[in-house]
This record gives sequence, C-alpha cells and structure tokens, in this order.
Amino acid sequence: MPQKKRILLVDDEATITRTLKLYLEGTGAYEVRAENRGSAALEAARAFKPDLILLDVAMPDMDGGDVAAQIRGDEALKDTPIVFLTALVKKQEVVATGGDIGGYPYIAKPLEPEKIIEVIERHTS
Amino acid sequence: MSPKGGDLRAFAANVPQLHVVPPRALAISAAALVVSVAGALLFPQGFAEYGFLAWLLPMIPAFLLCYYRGWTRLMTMLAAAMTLLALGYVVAALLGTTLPEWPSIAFVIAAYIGIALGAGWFREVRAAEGHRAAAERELHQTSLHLRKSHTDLQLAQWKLIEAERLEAVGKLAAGVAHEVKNPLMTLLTGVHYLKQHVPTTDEGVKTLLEDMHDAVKRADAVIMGLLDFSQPRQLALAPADLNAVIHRSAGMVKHEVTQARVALDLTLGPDLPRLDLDVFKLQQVLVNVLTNAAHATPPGGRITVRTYCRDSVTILEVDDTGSGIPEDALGKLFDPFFTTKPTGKGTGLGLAVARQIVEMHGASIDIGNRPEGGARVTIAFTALKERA
Repeated sequence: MPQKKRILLVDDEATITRTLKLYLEGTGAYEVRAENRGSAALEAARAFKPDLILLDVAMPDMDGGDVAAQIRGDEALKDTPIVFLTALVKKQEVVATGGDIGGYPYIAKPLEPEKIIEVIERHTS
Repeated sequence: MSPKGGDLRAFAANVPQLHVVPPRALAISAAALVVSVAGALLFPQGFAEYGFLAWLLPMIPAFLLCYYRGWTRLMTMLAAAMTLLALGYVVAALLGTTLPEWPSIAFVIAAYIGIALGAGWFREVRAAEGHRAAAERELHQTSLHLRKSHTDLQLAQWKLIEAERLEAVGKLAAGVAHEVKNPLMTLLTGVHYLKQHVPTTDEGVKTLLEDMHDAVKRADAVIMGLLDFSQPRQLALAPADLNAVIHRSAGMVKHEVTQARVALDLTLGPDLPRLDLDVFKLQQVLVNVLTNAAHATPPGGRITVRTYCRDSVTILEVDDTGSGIPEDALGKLFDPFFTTKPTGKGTGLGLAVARQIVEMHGASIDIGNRPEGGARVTIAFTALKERA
C-alpha cells in the first residue's frame, strides 16, 4: 500500500478543516493535519512535514500570504508546495489567472472535493 | 446668388433676409402695379400725358435686380416710390386735373425724400428686429446649452450615484462572498462525503443529497453573479471582428442548444466594420443572451443570430421562437435579481451584467417581442469607434 500523502490544512473555519480532513482521509490516500490559526501554521508544518499545504488566504490572526512567506523562509519547508484556498475570487478569475496568485496556485471556494484532490495530486506528483 | 463650396453657411445666413423682406416689398409693389394699371386703364390720357410709365417702368427691372441681389432696403424704397408715384397720379386723375410738369417733379422729389425718411425708419425697425432676432437666437442657444449642461450634469450625477452604489454593493458582495462561500465549502464537502461514505438504498436520501448539492451550487452561482455584477470593470478594447466573436460564443453554448433541441442559425453580414471590442466580455454577454434564448425556446424551435450594418450602426439581433416575454416583465429584464426562469434556474444577474458590459462599449441593448412571436434581443453598436 503506497504511503499516504501528508496534507497540512490551514483554515480559520473549523467546519471546513473538519469536513475536508474527513473527506480527504476518507479516500485513504491522505493523512491530514488541520490547523485553524495562521500563526500556528509554521510550527505545525515543522512538526508535521507535509507533502503539501492547503492554506486559507483570509485569516484573522495572520493571513495566508504571511504564513506562506514564513514557510518559504524556513530551510526545511521552503520547497513544500503551497496551494491557497480562497473565498475572495470567482471561478472566471481562476481561469483567467491560470489558477495562480502571486506565484502560488489557488483553489476558489467552494470547489468540488474531487477537484481539490486533482489539484493536490498535480502539485505532489 | 448660388452657394459655392464652403460658402454654404454664409448663403444660409442670407436666406432669412431674402425671405422676410421681399414678401412685404412684393406686396407693396404689387399694390403699386395694380393701382397704376387700374389708373392707366381708367385714365389713359392723364397717364400718357405725364409719362407715368416712363417713371414706373425702369423701377420694375431695378426692383427685380434688388430682389435677386438681396438689396432689400433699396427694394423697399423703390416699392414705396412706385406706390407713391402711382397714387399721386391716380389722385390727380381722380380730381380731374392734370399735374403740371414741375409740381410733378417736385412731387416725385418729395416722394423720394419721404421714402428716404421712411426707409431710415424702416431700417431702424429692421435693425431693432435684427437685434431682437439675434438676442432671441442667442437666448435659444444659451437655453440649448443650459439644457445640455443640465442633462450632462444629471448623467454625471447618475453615474456617480451608480458608481457609489456599485462600490457599496461590491464591498457588501465581497464580504458576503467570503462569509457565505466558507459555509458552502463545508456543505459541499460534507455532501460529497456523505454520498461516498454513507451508502444508502433509500431513494429519498439520495434525492435529498442531490438537492443539497444543487442548493449549494445555486447559492454559489448567486454569490458569483453578485460579485460579477458589482465588481468595477475595465474593458480591454481592441479592434475585432464581431462575427468571429459570435462564432466563438455559439460554440460555447453548443451544449445548451443541443440539450434544448433547438436549431441555431447564424446569418451574419459579410461586410461589417471592425469594432473596438473587449472580446471576452462581449462573449460573456452573448453566451448569456444565447443561453436565455435556448432556455426560452421549445424543442424544435429556432434561434437566429443576425448581424448587419445600417446607417453606420452595427446591429446584432438574436431572435428566438419561444413564447416571448410577458408585457409586465419587459421593463424589468435588466433589473438585478429579476428572472423569468423557474426558481433555481437563473440568478437574475445575467442580463444586468450584460447591460453593464454592452453600455461600457458605448452600445445599447434592448429586448422586445417580435410581432410573429418569440423575443428579440438587439444590440446596437452606435458609439463605437469604427475602423476600416
């Protein structure tokens, strides 16, 4: 059985991290660690060593951009793929920008979970 | 004097003079002619004796010359002279006397002095009339400018209010989008999880999960439509072929058209001018209009897209063979959140956004019912910069 991919899911919405963790782990292909505070994401990433980080953009204590900058500044984590989750854009914009903001790929909420898996696979394979 | 080239404006300015004064002068001279001819008929001897015609006849070509050259004041003087002269002779003839040569000459001189004074008075009156007419014209022009300024001001005010309103709606929409999309994400993931991990043979549960999935997608569509409607737009205009945009848009709605089992005909004018268009935004409009047409047309019906150019206006028409639009809905079609589609089938924002985009192109969009049945959407590119 192939090793499960490790996904760090950072979103201040606990319902999202809970259901998405349930869904992704339910596929049997992923091990998910959920974190609801941006400021705790770096420590969680250092401890969890994820294969990919799903990172919310708008969080109250520290936004996704700052979290991404911290992770990129960490020697051990700088190559870890980061995919933003955002509710602030439209699907047309995702298409227009090629699903990329500031050099990072992103997922516009709400997205069918199957599509989220496609994005994860694209950036971890 | 016929107008030549750029002199047309000067000629036009002279036209009132030629047409305001001559009728009066003509009337006076006609009266003079009638009186003198009548006098000549009644008292042929007296007229012949004092050479009336010798005075009168040269004045007629002089009068005509003045008329055609526009010398209206001189013409008026001549007309008055003819009248007085004729009257003098008629009065003398009626009194049964004949005027001796010298009083006749004195009379004519007096008549010309009187005419000169009268003409001076007439000139003053004319000048006053001219000033008044000029003042009236100026007032009229000022009034027109004022009216235009008022309209411009109203338009600017409307645009400002509209921009402020859209900015407010935009902020609200962005806030709502963030707050609503997160729970939608939870619901969508949850529904998918339940569908995959809680197997059920209960058709009711399956339907319930499908309905929940559809409800989430519908709410998402409304939020996206609201964001789309409220976001500030800037067009990326470039010269483009309208027909090519229509072909691409038709390709994008192929699925909808096939599903609705209707025919889509493109009758596109071959010689349309290239227009400054934001191709992607216009595609969005056409996809919306064509999708609406596909939804409104019963199976076996037909959608016709037509383009043509008339009086430098490029016109795009989309006809369908549906049941048309109810009269009470016609005025509301472009209102945000107004829809004639069944609940859940439309957000009511498509045409509101379409109108925004069309108007930003300086064009207009109109929807009406065709006399032969069905609806017609007309987009007229009137204000576009055309390029050969």
